[in-house]
Amino acid sequence: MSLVVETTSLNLVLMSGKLRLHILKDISMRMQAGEVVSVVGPSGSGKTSLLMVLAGLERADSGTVAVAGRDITSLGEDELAVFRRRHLGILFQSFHLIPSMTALGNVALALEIAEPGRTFGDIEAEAEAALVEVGLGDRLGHLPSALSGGEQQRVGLARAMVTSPPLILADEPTGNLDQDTGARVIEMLFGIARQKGTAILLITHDQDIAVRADRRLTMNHGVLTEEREQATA
Amino acid sequence: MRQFLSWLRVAVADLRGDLSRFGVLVGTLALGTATIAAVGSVGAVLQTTIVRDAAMLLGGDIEMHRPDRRATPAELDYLRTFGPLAETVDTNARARAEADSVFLDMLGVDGNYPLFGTVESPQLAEGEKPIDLLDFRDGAYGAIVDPVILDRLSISFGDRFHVGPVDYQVRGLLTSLPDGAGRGFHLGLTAVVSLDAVAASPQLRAPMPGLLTQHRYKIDLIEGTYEEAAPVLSAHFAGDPEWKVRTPYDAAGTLARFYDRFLGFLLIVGLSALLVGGVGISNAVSAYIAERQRSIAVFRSLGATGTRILVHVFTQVSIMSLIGIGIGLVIGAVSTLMALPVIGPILGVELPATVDALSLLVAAGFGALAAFAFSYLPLVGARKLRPAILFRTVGTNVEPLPTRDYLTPGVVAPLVIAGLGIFALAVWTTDNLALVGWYAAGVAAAFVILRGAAALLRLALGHLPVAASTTIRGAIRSICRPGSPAPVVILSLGLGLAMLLVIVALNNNLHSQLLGEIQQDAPSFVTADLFEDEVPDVRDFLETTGRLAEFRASPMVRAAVTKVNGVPSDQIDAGDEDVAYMLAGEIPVTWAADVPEESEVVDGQWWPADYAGDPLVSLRVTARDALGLKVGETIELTLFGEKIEARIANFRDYQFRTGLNFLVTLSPGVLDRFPERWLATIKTTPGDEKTVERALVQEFPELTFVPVAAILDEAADVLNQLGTAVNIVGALAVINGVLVLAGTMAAGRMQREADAIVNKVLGSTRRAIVTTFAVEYALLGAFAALLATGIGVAGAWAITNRLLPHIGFTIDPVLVPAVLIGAVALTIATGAATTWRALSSKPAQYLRATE
Repeated sequence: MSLVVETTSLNLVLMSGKLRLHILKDISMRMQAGEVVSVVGPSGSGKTSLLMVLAGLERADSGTVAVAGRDITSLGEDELAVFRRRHLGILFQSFHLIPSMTALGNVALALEIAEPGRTFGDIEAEAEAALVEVGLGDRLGHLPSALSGGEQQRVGLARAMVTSPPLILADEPTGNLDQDTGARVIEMLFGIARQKGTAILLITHDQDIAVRADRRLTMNHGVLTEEREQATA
Repeated sequence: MRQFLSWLRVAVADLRGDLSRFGVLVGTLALGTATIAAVGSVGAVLQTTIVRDAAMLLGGDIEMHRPDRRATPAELDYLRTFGPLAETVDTNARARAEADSVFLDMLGVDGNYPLFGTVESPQLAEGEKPIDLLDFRDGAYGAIVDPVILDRLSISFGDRFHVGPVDYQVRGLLTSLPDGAGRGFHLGLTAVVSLDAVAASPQLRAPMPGLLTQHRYKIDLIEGTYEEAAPVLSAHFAGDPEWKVRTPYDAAGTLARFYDRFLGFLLIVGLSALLVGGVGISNAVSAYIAERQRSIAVFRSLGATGTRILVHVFTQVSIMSLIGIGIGLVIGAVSTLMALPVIGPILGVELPATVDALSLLVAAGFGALAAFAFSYLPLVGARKLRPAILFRTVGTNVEPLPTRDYLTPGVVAPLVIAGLGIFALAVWTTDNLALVGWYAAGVAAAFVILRGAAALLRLALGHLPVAASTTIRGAIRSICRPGSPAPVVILSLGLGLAMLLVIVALNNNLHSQLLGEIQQDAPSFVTADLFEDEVPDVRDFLETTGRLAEFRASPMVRAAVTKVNGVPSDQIDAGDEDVAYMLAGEIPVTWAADVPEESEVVDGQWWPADYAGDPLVSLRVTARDALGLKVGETIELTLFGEKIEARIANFRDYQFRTGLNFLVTLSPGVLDRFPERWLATIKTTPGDEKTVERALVQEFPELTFVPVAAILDEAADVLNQLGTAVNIVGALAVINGVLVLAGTMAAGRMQREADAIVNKVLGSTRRAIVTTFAVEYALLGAFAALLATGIGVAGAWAITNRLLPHIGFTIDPVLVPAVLIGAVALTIATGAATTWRALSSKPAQYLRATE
């Protein structure tokens, strides 16, 4: 298995007014391809900050981050944007679909940005396939406002995986869904890891979901600890 | 390329949905563009018509004229070598018929008049020369007269009237002269008579500006153009300064200059509408980006670069801007087509109902540049939006970027280029760098003052001790909180109101100073060239009528200003009506030991009362401004064949034709050896002008009484109609301000809704919430109105001082409080209208929707 994520001694300090907050403390972690890693911890412990640093959305004050073998620590804003296109998929708690675009448009958008040279017909076909894969083949032309929460999150999932990134970062993807719907989304997420070898970092408050991951990490006051090695779900 | 097209396609697709959020952007751009398009288009049609018809306006390819005498046979022979020639004379005289009289603008013509065009009269066939109707028959010359003359003289077509000893018979009714508009402003009602008839009349005299006798020789050039003929004619008559050349360009020039200034002012007002609207554009784009910030962040999280985000949002804003500009152009074109048939008759020019494409293009240019300039900063903000907001709770506003992010060449350069573009376009369109320069400086200063004052207000309110009243505390907190619309409300309302005040104050000043006060204070009649013994006769007679309010008389002699600083007057471009009159020929001049009443020395020193040295002269300040003269420089006066060089001692300012003031006033003793005449001004008791005029004319048939008040009334009509145009355009600027204000309030509506709901949940009553909003709006409205009053009054004062220096400046005491109260009421009303939904919404409904 190849290494997808490797961080060494990550530190993140933020200022809140005159208050200095040490958000991430000396975090070193690794993730292999196809591995699902869950991160649990109380609110404000630094889980989302870790995810943002891995996505290149927040810059660490010290330490290094390498994703898919590339050190992203020193990349500029636009270089990071280009990097995200092919290497990252992000799944949000609040879905964050573009309200003016259909389900198909939202998924196609990721491909359009990632592969600007392709024809729109090609892109649409691939986006449609991704939506069919998450069970939304009959919802292609629907706007987000016409979709249920679970369906919106499945569109989000299709958008995150359609570019076949080596890493998907999921920030409490079931936080806004009921238990059954959430379970279905998690099934799909785990399925992607197994079938496509995508590494998945899953932030969650739900212990039932967390224990199903290959590894469970706990974040507390900015310190990341590994609880135990788990069996494959 | 494919990639770029793909970006555009996505941007257009993403525009789908509720376009009403662009209402303010489209509305303000449409209004501003429409105003500029209409003003520019009307102006262009006016200019084209005037220039195209210039030869017609002049009545020939070129004209030679002089004020003092007819051309000699030798001079006529020379002029005829250039081509067929028509001779005319312009003068004024009083016509009488029994007890009635009327002041005439007499046009004496020869058999060749008109060289171009037709004298329109029901009694003349198309193209027929008028001379046959004007010949001497049965003891009377013929006259083609303005039909109003018949009413004034209580006579009918075919009846007779007389001017001095010469009898005239009305043989034609005048509809129009082909060169009517080019003749400029003439006093009295027009009567066309023959040259022989004028020659038979007694000496006709010119007691004040506008009453010059001019002998004109209009030539239909056989070969070449006026540009070639003019220097030849000038050179030939170089030894005689009274001969002046007039070209079609000059004929159009006076009109064109007047309309240029008027339209330049209107264009500036239109531009103001666009700039006030610009604040709305900026707000609308900021609000749009705030609303879309999560979507933009999603784009960023999917790997879109800052450039792509910029292209994405810029495309969307551009599309909506183009729609606004397009709507504006259509409105502008339609308004032009509707306005031209109305404006033409007011200005006495026939204007074809066409739309000028270049003006529309210019308006579109202004609209596009303004849209870009005002939306660029919010767009830059969008480019820099961080996708991290997707993981955080954000408010309804975009977090502002640090100032250093704006101070980069990539951000500043496009803005500077757009600003310079607007400036250059305005200079090119108005052809008036000073006007645009001062205006730009004023607008920039207003922006800085309003922005700065808003920041200071928030700072000051934030440091106030906590108010005891919950309502006031709430209102102040609302103004001071991050993302408060206060700065934008103050800016948009302040700019709109300042613009309104400038326009209203200017209009008021022009109107009251030029017409209102003059109409009250101006003499009813002016009469000149009285002999000394006639002065008490006229005064005594007037006193017997019991209708005399005031009589003033001053000694005068007639003299021509033949040189200014050694330069012959005919080589000087006057550039001002007063100065043109001063240099055109003999004018009344006077002398005085003391500063004349109702005038003020503004430059230099008045001479001592017992001064007896070399000739000194006091000139009206307009001569200094128009000719760039300085104290200590000289003018040469010619009278009775003698030349007198006088050194300029001072310049005086006095209100337009009030009191008894002379353009040229000499030190005592200079004119002692010349025979003096007198100039008198007569003011009747109100409403008795006609009766007194009739009595004067009967008692003193040999004197000419110029009915100044009546003429000013006519001028007032024209000014009123032009004022209406200014008011309409000014109102558009204000409407744009209100639109911007409404847009600002609407943009903050979501935040207000949230605030209102939370307040309701916490137990606030509707009444308490309304009161807090009202206090907040009242505070903002009053603050903006106070600032606007200062800026507006300063702006109007600066414009009056620089552009209309001889007009005094006053502020209507009703205007300022009216604007203050109006602004507060308007802000509260707009605020209430846009937050009504917030007040009416049910908490549960809102809370469910935002879960």
